[in-house]
Amino acid sequence: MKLLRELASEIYSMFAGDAAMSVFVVIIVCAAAALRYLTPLPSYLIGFGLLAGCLVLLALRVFSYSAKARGR
Amino acid sequence: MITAHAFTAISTAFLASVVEVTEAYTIVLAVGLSRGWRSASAGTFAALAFLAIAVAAFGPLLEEVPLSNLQLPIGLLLLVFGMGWLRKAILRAGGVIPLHDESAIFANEMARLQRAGMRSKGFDMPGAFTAFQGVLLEGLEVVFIVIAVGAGRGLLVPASVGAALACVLVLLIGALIHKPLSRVPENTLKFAVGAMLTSFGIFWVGEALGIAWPGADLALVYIAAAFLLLGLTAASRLRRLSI
Repeated sequence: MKLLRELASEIYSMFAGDAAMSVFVVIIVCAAAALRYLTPLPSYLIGFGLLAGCLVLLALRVFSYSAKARGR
Repeated sequence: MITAHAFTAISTAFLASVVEVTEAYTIVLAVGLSRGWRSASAGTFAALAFLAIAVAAFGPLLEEVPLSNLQLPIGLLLLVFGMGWLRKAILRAGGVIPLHDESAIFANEMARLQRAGMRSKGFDMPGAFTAFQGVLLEGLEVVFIVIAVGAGRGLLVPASVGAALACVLVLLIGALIHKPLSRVPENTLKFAVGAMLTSFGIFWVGEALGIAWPGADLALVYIAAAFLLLGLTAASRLRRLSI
């Protein structure tokens, strides 16, 4: 039972260690999909938008965690 | 000729396995020294067999699914997983959270196993279970990476070989030095693997959405480079902030 709990917790932390970041990744991917299918934008521009969105998100999550940690 | 995609898949599986096997080795070493090598080996081999069965069962199953159906879910999982690794590696490199210290983990594990009571004369079940659990939990991430980067593109075997080579390499070094492998640059490796996994994730999600990446497979390289650059810049900024 303990092993199953540990396994479940490991799998959760693999994909949702930072749950907010995971949710925002899904939102960015959905936005890219919407742009791809609903606008005439060239696909490579949407690709670079997807890349830029993920880069900005990562930077925001890192610096917000660091600010919280320094405030403690 | 080996493609950029195949090279990235194999090296990602190899480097990720070095990180995870190093962590698992610390636990197995503590079990071996405190509870006996018979139970440590039994737990380790049972977990390795379990993980190998997982790859052998799920990998070929996913190979049957058309690539177009796999790209979005696997790409999304890789993206979330890779960014998680990168985030942690940046925070560690920036001094916000402590680095993974194999020697400290080894000392804690030894103390915990010694508190667990007298070692039994025959087969030591608590020792075997600890080794089994340690290897299984650390190996889970390797299994995910091998399946995610390998399935659907016929790279399952090369990715598995990359992971197995890392396993053999770490165990060989471990068998020679009999100490925790504290000099393995785990965070640097985590940085590199995080960038590669994130790159795979974005590339696959993009392909699933019908995005034609300039440079085709070479996009994996410039996407990973963009994340590495961001990571290094962010870590250096965090270090300056903490002074």
